[in-house]
Amino acid sequence: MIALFLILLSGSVSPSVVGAQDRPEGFEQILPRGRIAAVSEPVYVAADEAKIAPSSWVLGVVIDGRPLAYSLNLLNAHEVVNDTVGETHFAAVW
Amino acid sequence: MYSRDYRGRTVDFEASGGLVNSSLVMQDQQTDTYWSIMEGKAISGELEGERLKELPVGEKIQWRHWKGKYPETRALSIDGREDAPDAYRAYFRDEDGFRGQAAEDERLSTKAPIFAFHHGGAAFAAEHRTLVGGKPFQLGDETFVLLYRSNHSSMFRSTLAFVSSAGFTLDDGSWVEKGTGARLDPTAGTFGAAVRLGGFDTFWYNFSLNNPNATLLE
Repeated sequence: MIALFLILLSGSVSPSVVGAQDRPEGFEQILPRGRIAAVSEPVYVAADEAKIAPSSWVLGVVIDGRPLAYSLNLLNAHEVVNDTVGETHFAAVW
Repeated sequence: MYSRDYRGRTVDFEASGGLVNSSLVMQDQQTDTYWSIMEGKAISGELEGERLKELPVGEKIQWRHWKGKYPETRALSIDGREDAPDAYRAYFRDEDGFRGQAAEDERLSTKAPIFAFHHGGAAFAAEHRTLVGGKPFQLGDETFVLLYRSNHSSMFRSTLAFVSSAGFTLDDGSWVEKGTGARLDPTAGTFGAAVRLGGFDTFWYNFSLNNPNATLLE
């Protein structure tokens, strides 16, 4: 939805406009690339084992009949989860 | 949710660590291309111009409701944790954008929650509060969308969005797709065989700063 984790981490960082040729116009490097590590080998647990508050918001998806849930609070620290189910290569982004 | 397949290859996305107009920019690890969520496309690098392919298979929902719908669901676990504290409560309640950023387009307030999507290369937005109970829009001669929010939706709850070539109509208090007769079930989030419309819920300033020519659906 938004670069939420940047808000948390960038409090003491002075952002600078980076003028590298391949960077998009107006791009501001707030944190070093890689500081917010994407999840590329996700691990899942069964619903009954998941310690998630009942009122917590999740991104729920069903791919090839397989339901998966991503806590938004957990995604805040990673922004992106790369995964594959069947033939579907997807990224969960928050 | 986005596909990771572009131009015959599968990429891995990650946060670039940077923003454009206060909004997340991703990079892929294979080509280092920069991808803007708000613009819905690659904005610089080898894959520049490629549209992000949305997979309308997800919904934001509270855990108890998701678990009730899908008891067999599995949940992401990182370092033995499946949840974390909500670090952004203050941000979501604040009237200002990130670092005081304000919307330049004053059609809506800076932090007005909206549903946003791209269609045919154009950007569209609709304010959440206008979608309570459902609202149909016509985007072109044969493109109709229905956007629906319940009257008690948290801003986190996904807007239900569907697209049809025949249109939608209200029948006895229910939204029906013309032609197929499919009925919207707002609780289940299903609409028969009606096609889900890709899009996302965000704040007006994030979307309008990155899509200054966005059409505001009213």
